[in-house]
Amino acid sequence: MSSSMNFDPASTLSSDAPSAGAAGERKAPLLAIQGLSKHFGQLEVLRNIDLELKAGQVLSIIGPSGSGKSTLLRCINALELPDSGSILMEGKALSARERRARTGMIFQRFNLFPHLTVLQNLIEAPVHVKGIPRETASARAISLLGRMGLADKRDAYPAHLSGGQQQRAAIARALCMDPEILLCDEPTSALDPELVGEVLSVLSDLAARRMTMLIVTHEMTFARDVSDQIVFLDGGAVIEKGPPEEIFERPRTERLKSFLERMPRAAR
Amino acid sequence: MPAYLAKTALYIARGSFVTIELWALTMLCALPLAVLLALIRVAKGHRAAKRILEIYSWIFRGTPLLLQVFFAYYGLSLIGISLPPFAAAALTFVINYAAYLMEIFRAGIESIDPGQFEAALALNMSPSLAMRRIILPQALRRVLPPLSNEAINLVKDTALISVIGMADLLRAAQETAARDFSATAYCIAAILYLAMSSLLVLLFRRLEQKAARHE
Repeated sequence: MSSSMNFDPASTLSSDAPSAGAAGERKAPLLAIQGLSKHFGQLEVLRNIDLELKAGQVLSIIGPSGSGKSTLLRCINALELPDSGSILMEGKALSARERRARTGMIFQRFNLFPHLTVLQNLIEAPVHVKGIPRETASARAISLLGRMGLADKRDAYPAHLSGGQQQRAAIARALCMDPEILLCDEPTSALDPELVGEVLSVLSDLAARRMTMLIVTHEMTFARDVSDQIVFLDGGAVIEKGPPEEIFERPRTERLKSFLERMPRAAR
Repeated sequence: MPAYLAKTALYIARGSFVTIELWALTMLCALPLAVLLALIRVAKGHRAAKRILEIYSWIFRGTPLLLQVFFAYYGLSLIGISLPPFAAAALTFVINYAAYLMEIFRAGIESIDPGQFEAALALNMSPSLAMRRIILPQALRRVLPPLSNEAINLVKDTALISVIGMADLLRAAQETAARDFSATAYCIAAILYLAMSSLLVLLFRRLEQKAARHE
């Protein structure tokens, strides 16, 4: 609660980093996924996925369409229920609501609430879920909007914003709930090419402030620049994982090699 | 002649009290009831309740409202439940209109992008909070045009209660016309019905304009 009362979002975000670094070895990772599997009918979408994410790290998930990337993200905040496997936060299995309280989600299609202004979008959950006083939540939201370059859009309705502005507002909305992990589900895939940059720069900025993030993306250059770890998912299974230099410079499997070659602007 | 017109108009207008009363009571009861029933229809589970609501909707939307009014007034009295005419009419109208309105609200809620509900859940809202704060407000705005239709239909449907002896607008007009051998009374009644429905058209146009602010 104390961090949500903090007016400066920058200090809120960076406050987690030192503790995570100091106790890095002994502490359970912030997020651990073990043996996660998921079917849709006959289709096996996720097969025995193992992942770990430490506080302050950025993990990008890459892979072809239909490889299960989005489903994996959606399992983490319980929008999908896995068939088997476990999702642990700091070593503990949590309820859906507890996991949602600690994670924020950025959707491909932004999903701002169209009947509410930008500011109302941002304070809706802090006020009605966390019970934060409206003035406190508004002050926090306005400062976040400023950081996203949306200070003048607080009273606009989402329909009057560009896609890039909508996605930045959606990022601000997620941050208003003080998530420990930001889950980004193809945050730039629905954007016109000229609007991709502004959203990626906001995400890069968050990464630089040690926000823990799990990003599903097709933007290879971005993934290489901001990630501590890359996971290559294909056919619902983890094919390779490692630091970006390894994944992009020295892919070990044929599948990853041919995937990277097919990417329009592969990071090389 | 002007004196006759004024007297007739006044007499018929007095009949519109019953019409307005029935209209208001039906809207006031059927609207919230329909929202509640629609929420059950779109909720997870509740299999049996949903089935019952489907049958209810099938029966009340599939038979004439006039028949339902007859049943409530004459039919029920045959098995020992005799309701005063206004109560029988109001009960029938509420149940009948709630069936139509339930379908409108259900379709409205289902038309909202599932991403809206997911975004609300991802912000850790409970399903009921998400429904109340995010989905319903959007659905209500979206169903204003069909709601306006129903509200106007209801003005005209109230004329049906003249057949169970209620002194409504239509009956007042009919009595006057029969007594005076003149169509003037019908014209006056038509003008009064038109005035009421025009008022509703204006009201809903305002509401729709207000709801369109965010588009």
